[in-house]
Amino acid sequence: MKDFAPSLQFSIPNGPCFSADGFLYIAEQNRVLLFPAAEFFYESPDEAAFNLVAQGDLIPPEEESFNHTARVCDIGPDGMIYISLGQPFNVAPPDKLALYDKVGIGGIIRMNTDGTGREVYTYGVRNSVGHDFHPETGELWWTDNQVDGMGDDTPPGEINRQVAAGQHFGHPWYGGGSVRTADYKGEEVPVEVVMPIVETVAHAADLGMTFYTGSMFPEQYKNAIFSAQHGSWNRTEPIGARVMVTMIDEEGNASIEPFAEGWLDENGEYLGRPVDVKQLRDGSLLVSDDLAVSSYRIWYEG
Amino acid sequence: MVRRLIPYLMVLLLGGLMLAGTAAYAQDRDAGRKVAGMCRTCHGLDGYAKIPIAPHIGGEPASYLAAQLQAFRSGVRKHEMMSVVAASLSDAQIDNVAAWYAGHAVAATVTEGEAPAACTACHGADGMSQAEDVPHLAGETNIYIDTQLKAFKRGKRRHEVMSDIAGRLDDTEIRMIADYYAAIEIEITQVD
Repeated sequence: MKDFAPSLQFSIPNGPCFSADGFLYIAEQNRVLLFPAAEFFYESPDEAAFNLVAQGDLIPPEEESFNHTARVCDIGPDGMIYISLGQPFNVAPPDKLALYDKVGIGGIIRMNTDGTGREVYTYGVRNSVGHDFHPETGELWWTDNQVDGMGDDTPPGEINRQVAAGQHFGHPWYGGGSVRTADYKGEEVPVEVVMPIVETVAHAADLGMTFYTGSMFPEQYKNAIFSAQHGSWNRTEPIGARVMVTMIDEEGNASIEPFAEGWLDENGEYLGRPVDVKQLRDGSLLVSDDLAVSSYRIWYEG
Repeated sequence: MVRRLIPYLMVLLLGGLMLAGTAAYAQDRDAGRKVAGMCRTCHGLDGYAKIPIAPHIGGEPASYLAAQLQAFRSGVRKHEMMSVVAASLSDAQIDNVAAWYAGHAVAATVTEGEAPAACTACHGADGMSQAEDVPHLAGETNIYIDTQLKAFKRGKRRHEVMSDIAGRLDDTEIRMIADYYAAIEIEITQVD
């Protein structure tokens, strides 16, 4: 492993993404940098870096946090960059909602790759750490981590399908799926809410996801979603730590099942915790793991 | 190197045991170990954190750990995960789990840089606590330290000493302090 751009000081550089023309973007806590030639000078102190979003302009600095700040980014079929902005609370409090909606905290924002045209694309997100665009429809699909402290088996985690700009997905009125949060219980929901297309097992922490477009795997996996479950942190019986696959049928119905597991042993101890899934050029899958500090390649031999 | 480390570890080990021993008659480390089942996914059973947002807490003063858990439980200190966990803990569970984590031995090795003068009286040049109710800083993630200093500065977290000190630091100084202590390597030895 090599240290990328060692002369630069990063703050939570969780989210890298590449544009089709090979520009690297890194979404941090409160900045987005652009590297036009990342692969040529990555070890050099002279790595060329430009601000897509300058320090302090992604969110108001007084709203910075450490938790729920693992941002992800991706370039959409429209050529715009999409960036997730988790909100820092378990359940977002009422006095923050107006500001959050304006900035896009607890949402996904998008902008042109010259930094212009910023807007909030997605509302009502708790903490999304994975998204991808459907290879045929171009729709944005994304995972979301749901509310803690309501019980071992509720509320469900989510995979969401977004078909239009500005849709609202329910946080903080909903804690996951159709389960209402205790904090906002009984309150009338003031927005029209889109329910998740997939409800996942509670507290498994669905993170990175990618649509499969390769030709290595059998035909049934075409356009399926591979997603990583990081694993629960305070569920009585730990759950997760696996790679899931979501199949979508011709009517658009989705069903999810485990694809790769074994990182959680019989004593409830994590041997590894998958974070993200990406497709390699040959059609095999790359899975990252931040506990074992490793990557795994999953391939198919027909 | 190994030879030099061993006596140091033993001194710390004894120190840790004595520290736990002074107040141990009210605390039950075995019961604390069971409570630590709620902590270990993030903080490890030995207090060496497994995720970046969680601090290392092995060998931390018990008084500091108990005070933080009480603050999370009462809402004085807030964190989206810790507030959920602490809400369910009794006073005895807090004391016991604090004793469990405080009883491990921790050793720090300074590798580079100049210790920040504003911090060393309480947190040491090596990031080791110099007093009760003071956390170790050695080896914590830089953004963890950065986040806490900014929280003290902006009033989101309060402490009679830290609010004042952090209030006089600018963001660049905060990051320098965070980078200094984050670069110190620590080793935690579990004490059962």
